[in-house]
Amino acid sequence: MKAEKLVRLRAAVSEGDYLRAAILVSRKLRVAQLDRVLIMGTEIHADRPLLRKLREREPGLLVRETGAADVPSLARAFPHHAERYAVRFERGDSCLVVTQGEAPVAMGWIRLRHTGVINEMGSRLELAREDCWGHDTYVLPEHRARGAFAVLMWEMFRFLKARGLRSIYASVAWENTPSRASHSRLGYQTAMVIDRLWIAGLRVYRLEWPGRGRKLVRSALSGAPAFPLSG
Amino acid sequence: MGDGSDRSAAAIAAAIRAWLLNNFMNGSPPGAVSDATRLLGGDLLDSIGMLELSVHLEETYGIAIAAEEVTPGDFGTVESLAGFVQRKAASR
Repeated sequence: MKAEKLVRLRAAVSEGDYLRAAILVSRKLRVAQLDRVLIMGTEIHADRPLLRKLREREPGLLVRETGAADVPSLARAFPHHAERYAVRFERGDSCLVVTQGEAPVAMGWIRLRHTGVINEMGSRLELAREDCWGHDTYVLPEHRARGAFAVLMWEMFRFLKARGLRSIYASVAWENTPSRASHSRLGYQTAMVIDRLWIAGLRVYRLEWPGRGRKLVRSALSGAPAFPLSG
Repeated sequence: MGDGSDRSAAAIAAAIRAWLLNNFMNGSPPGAVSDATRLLGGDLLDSIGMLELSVHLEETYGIAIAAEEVTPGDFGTVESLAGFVQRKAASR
């Protein structure tokens, strides 16, 4: 296990967060794995004075919407999912890119209802017409904690507001505490929790909707029904 | 919490610890954050939190922190950040 992961594991244990510790340990196992993701959402129209302030600190960071013609430059700047960008544009996704000078430093993707259901860890999630799904929000490592994420999110909310959308949802890995904190500070709340236990090829899912008193346990054998994300 | 009048590294570190406790660790005992607590790259502060901390330090100590100054060397721990702020404040 790498030193950084060991530090995270030690921190999880010392904080008494044994679920996070179990998830981190299971990543190293061959016969069993435990995963938990949170589906978090927020109202697009919410007032975000902190985000406005952080955006105003970085006037040199510009944001623009990209399209299919930008696939080669996106692939060069963000090679981690290079093979997916053309498919996403064909499907109808939108992509915003943050640039410093001419150089891309961050990107964020958005899916709308007409692009189909969201497949998230074995569950199919249906968007309402006025909702959207944020995914693959990525900041180049050397630009992290320098304002690019805040600028991207501020401009993304403006972009979505101009299109009359109501809410945005995203998937956040439970063990990624910094990302959970980021989303919480931007006003996101947990709409759904998906647990997946994988043991020697058998997958069992537990889904929970906090605040709505609804829980569901099923195996992969029962198929993958679609769930509405809101309402 | 420090008002920025005491510019010793120890006082700045104490003020940073107090700010972290008040803003990110509600309900935690004072010992939950130390001078060795990891900041940049750690699990306590996300990128938005790091920016909030930068803004707070700028307003408290009358300094300007450029984006390229947010490095693991200076923003790695409470102690290294306190030293960075002390140097910036002294060079104003």
